[in-house]
Amino acid sequence: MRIAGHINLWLMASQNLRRWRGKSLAIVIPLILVMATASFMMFTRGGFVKDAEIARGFLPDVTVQGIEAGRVGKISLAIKKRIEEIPHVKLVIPRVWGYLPLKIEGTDAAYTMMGLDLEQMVYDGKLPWTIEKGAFLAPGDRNKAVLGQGVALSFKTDVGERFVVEDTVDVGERLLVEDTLGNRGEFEVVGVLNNTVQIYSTDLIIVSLEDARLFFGYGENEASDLLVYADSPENVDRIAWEIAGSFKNTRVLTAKALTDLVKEAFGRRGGTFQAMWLILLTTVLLLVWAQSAHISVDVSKEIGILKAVGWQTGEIIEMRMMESLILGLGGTSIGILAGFLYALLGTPGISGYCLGCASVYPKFPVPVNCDFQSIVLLFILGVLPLMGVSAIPAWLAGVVDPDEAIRR
Amino acid sequence: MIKEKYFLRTIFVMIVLMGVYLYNDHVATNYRHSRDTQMRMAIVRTLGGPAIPIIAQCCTSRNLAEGIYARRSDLPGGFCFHSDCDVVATPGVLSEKVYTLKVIKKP
Repeated sequence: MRIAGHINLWLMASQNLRRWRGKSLAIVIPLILVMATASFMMFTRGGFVKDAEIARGFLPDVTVQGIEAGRVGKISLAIKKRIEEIPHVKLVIPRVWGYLPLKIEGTDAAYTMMGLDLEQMVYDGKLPWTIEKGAFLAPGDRNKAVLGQGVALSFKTDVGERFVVEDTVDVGERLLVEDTLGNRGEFEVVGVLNNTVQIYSTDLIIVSLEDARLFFGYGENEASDLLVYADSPENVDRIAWEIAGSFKNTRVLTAKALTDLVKEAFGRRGGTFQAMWLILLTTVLLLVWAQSAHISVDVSKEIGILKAVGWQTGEIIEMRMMESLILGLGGTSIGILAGFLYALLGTPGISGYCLGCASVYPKFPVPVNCDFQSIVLLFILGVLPLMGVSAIPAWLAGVVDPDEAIRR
Repeated sequence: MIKEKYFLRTIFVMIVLMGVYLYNDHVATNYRHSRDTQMRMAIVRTLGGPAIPIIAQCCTSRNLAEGIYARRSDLPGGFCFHSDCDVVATPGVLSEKVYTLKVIKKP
């Protein structure tokens, strides 16, 4: 058959779909929903993965954590001095951080307190852009804090207000025994980070290293981890191996390892949606099978007439397959666009689940990325299974005896 | 005529999809052109890591430098004791230390 013949079959198939509008919509609408689900999941995950890949260039070359009895613990600053002596090490910065489990009006949440060494902070020239109100911490600042928007909005704090982090016993619904650790910190809010950087900062309370050390009860010579910067990227692995070989009870993470771990974390979340999506796709395929396998009397007569006027069985099958192809392409295209727009809007309604955030966190923009491979994969996943399940019904329609079909 | 109409529609959809792809790859997510990405990276560089607020609200199972939740508390062989963890919760745990945050308003 010439190309013109195939084009005519395509036009005939699209006219058929328009004539049987209800039946077409019954397939296309669920398909759009399924492909939109798959798309926003892929694009959101792609956004995080791309961000993680870009972030690789901005991470410390090596992060060294202390291991205590097989668990991640504090690290001694004595190690910092010895790491500084390793050839090609440019800078070693201690960091103190920890989590603050919170119960705010009965809601569980978790904030992160991050203590930075303000005297030797790796300052990025674009850091002022990230501040919505006030300013970032300056060298020498004590008892001052910069908050992520999630923290600031939850408590409606503003610049200049005093922010008290109090470690007390909260006799809540599930608490029966008192805790008497008695940690307490009081900070002045000097800045609030903006909405754009919430993905990396929404739950953050950034304070000075000394303040964080005091709050978490760290000793003068202790830190949560050490950030090691190499003089050149070629020496990173050598430095990492040197640290891992020289110090017992340390955990050495290169920037690549950290990036891979972040990617894996989002892969797990994506896996849940993939399982959900597979169930939805199977449902749509069953629907397509049911719709295609049942040939109504009208359709049967039509096919009989077409065969009586000279249409070949192969042409009937091709036309039926083209109907599935058009439905698949249309549904997938609209689904991809809908999924992309939903992802751009920040996946409203399920963003908390996507990110695994605590329920008190406000909505914030998530990075979105639609790469060429994802689009190709989505088209393959949306079109091929649809054509696969409609192949046998198409063949059954094609082999209808014209005489029998017309007499029905 | 009909053929031209379908051809134009197909070309239009392809242009829209290509536009979406190019916008994302070269504008929305590209470090050089995207101010948002530049800001995010400024935070990553300053903090020394992507402190993504992810992986459930259970503090006992998180590690900032790891991002992966083990779903085990800090108790030897224990499980997470956060009641809203959706995997495992140890029943009958009597205490849970929580923090209180208060804001002192400006006079």
